[in-house]
Amino acid sequence: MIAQALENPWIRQLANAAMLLAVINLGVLVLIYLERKVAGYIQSRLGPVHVGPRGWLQSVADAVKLVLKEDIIPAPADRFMFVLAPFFVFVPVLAVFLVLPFSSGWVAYDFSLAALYVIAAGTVAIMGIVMAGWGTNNKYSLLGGLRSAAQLISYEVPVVLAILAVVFFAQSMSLTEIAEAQSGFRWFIFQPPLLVAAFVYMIGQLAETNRTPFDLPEAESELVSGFHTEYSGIRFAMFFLAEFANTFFASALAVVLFFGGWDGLPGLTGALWLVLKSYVLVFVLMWIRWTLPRVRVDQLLGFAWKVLVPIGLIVVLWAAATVVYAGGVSR
Amino acid sequence: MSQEVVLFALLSLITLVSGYWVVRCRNLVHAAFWLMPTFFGVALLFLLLGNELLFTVQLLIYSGAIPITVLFVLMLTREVMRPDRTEFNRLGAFGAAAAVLFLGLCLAGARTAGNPVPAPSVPADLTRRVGEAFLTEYLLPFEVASLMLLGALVGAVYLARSDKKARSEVVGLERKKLIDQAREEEKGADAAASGMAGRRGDSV
Repeated sequence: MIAQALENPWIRQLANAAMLLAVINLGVLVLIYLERKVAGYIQSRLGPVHVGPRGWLQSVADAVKLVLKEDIIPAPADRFMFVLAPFFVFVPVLAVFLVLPFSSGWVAYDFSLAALYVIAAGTVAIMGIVMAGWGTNNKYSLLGGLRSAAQLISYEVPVVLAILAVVFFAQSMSLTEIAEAQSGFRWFIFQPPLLVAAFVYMIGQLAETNRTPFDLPEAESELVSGFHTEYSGIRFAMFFLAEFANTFFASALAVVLFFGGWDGLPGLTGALWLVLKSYVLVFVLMWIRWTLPRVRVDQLLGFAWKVLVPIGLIVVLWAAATVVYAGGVSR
Repeated sequence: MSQEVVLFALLSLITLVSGYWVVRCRNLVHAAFWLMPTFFGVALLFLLLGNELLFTVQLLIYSGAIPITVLFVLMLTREVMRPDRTEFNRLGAFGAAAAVLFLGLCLAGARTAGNPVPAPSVPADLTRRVGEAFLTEYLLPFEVASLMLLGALVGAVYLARSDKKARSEVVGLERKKLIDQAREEEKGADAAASGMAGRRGDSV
């Protein structure tokens, strides 16, 4: 009966989405544990050790705690915005996973414009963060929300330019086709213009996922965690979930765009290669987070507009020239 | 009823209800927020018609960027943000006339096109075609539009910049005054405390 129901494309797509949701939630639990352990080793301490063997149940315990906690809505808050904001941050992150190809054919919705769609969905999350900052009616939250909007809008530009350079090489905006164009270890990272594009992309994504050295919207020491200061319980959990899911997505997208997607040595399924490579990149992001100090606001915005955007523009021209004159495309 | 019809009804409902609230909301920040589901509903209607390019562009520009721009404008002009602010434009009659005209246009369109309207077929290489058209046949309008946007951007930067400069001068003056004041006070306090043991030593 289930097989029969799955014949229906609508039900199949719903099932795909539900499966993705489960995978994302479980993945985030693993990521949180990983983050704490990595932070622990980098800072010469143990990280979680008490709940479960080597502390690996700590994330589960925290998740249960967050679900059970009281949901506090501050009295001066704009209830409507305050309550809705977490959804507007969380849903776009889930929505981008819909078009992420885990392996050949392993994609919930094979979208022909996936590269553009990923950028489009990201802009919706900015609105959620501004809503959270404004709706809380607290000056620290508002500052965090506005900082975040400025940061996300600024760093979106170099990320888009980097993705554009990849699109030139793949001659397609479908993530599946971009990954397939790199099969057999013809990864885009080996192309000189795209190597630079990969750096621009990773720096941009570091800022887009609000991670140190670009975690100004949260900045515990100056803004008391910014736009989600007053959030508690399940609503806070949604912001947290969105942040970690976004970190994983940024890495997975980097793998699809630059590191050959599911291309790897035979012996493992393609999807496993993709996840493995993504986790390596996630580890790099964590490594950066726990190594570098936070930058200032003017440095942050100046760096985006005066350094990353010009580099991105040069990379786009360089990639276009390579594709047109040096025959960089082999299809 | 087929699933398409159900989805169409649902999406139209979302678009219309949130569109109503954009107009109806007293609180302009809420109105800016309601713009989002309005445009998102339209975007999904494009997807339902099988046009992925229009869907993505609508999502990127209208659902994502425009509400944020509106919010920024609102936060820069704080006066209009107050929810107790009464409506101050007198364009009700023009609005009604525009609504009636638009309704007439829709009805006329529906009558000539027949019912149901067949969905236009979308070519598979739509994106490529649109891109090529922009860079060949419609290059001039495309460039003019981008020039206009650049002009708007430069204008915005100019406005923000001069404003900031003036403010920083004011802040600088205020600061100087405060520093001078503090110095005076310190001098006075030092003079008063000169007879006693060092103040610093006491407090430590």
